[in-house]
Amino acid sequence: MNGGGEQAEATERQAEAKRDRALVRRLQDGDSGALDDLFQRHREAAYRIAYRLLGNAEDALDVVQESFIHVLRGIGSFRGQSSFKTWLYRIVTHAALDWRRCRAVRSSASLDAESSPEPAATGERRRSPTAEAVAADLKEAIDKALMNVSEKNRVALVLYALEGMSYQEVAEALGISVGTVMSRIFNARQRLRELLASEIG
Amino acid sequence: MTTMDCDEIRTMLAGYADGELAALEQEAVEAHLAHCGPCRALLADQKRVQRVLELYAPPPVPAERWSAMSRRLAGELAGREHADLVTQHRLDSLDDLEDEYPSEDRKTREPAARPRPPRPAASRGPVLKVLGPRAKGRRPRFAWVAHAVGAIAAAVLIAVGITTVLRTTDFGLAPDALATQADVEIHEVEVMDPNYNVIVYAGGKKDLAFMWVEPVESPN
Repeated sequence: MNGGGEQAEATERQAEAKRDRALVRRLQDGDSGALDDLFQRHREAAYRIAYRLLGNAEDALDVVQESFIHVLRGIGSFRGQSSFKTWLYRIVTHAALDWRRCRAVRSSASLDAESSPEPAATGERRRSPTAEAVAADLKEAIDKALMNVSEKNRVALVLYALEGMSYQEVAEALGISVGTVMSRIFNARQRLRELLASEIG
Repeated sequence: MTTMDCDEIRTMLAGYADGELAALEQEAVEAHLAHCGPCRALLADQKRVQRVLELYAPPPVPAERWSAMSRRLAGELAGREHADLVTQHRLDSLDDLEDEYPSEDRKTREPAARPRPPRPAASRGPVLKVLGPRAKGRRPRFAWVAHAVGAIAAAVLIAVGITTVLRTTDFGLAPDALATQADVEIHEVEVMDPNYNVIVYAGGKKDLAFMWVEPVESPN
């Protein structure tokens, strides 16, 4: 990344964070318009994170809703020590992982004595017709492969590689060092490389 | 520059691929890659996987789905505002209570500046009737009990000429403790005598319910 581009990106991020801070203040004063603005600004990213951590759209949307309700309930105590985006992504990540754990418990309870298949296949709900229409073999393979990357590595990769957060932002969101973020992303990609060997050559 | 081995370099390869390294680290990685084929292959893998991931998008969400979610969130916010509104009414009433019965430790406070919104006299009818919550929101589980008790008690009080405020402290409930109750809702009950308003404060829990009787405000 060149210096000028990096600086422009940093400036843009600061402007976005400032806009979020203004909306958060309005929301803390009870302005419903601010809630709608924040929702519109961040819902897609929240959905992508949840989707990539859970592997299906319905669960991801449930998690997005749950996360924004959590935001609403906690907004009064949000002091802006991290950016709103970082705070929201942390909420979405935790909500998605909790959702996945609950789903795994439900799935294992319903499987009785039957041997369980791959983790990615056990809890997945039926995909939407739209997703089916759009999904290519590669996309299916990526979904499945991502679910077979360890949780810690997957979260770091999703936040960075798929949501455009910097290593520093991922570190803040997950409460880990930048070095650990780098290591987890490396391991996640290497694991994906193994799992997708036949698809990406 | 100190030469790094493959293990050290690999901890930085992702950062190098993503342009996240400091200048010195970047130079160290480049120096190593210049003579290490296996690490160059790992770097190529990192970049290839990243390119594949960037092409990958989750299924689009229908607009009506977002709209439904937006409405759900607006409802959640309205619920919160309702709770805040109730708190405001509660504090107003406590200010009024203090004006009439100033406690020792609050005598120095300024009188309440917030006026109570007037209730239209035309809405009062000749029979005892519960009007229900003043604003939409969560109904307390025991609201109907509070309504019934409040309405009957109000009728009795007015019949015997007691028209002053019943203080929360009379029930052993300090106003400060009341102010921390998040689930309190205000219910207005209509009584036979059109000269008085009766308001029942009902909590979502069984341990909170009290009533307030006030003269109807003059239109002037």
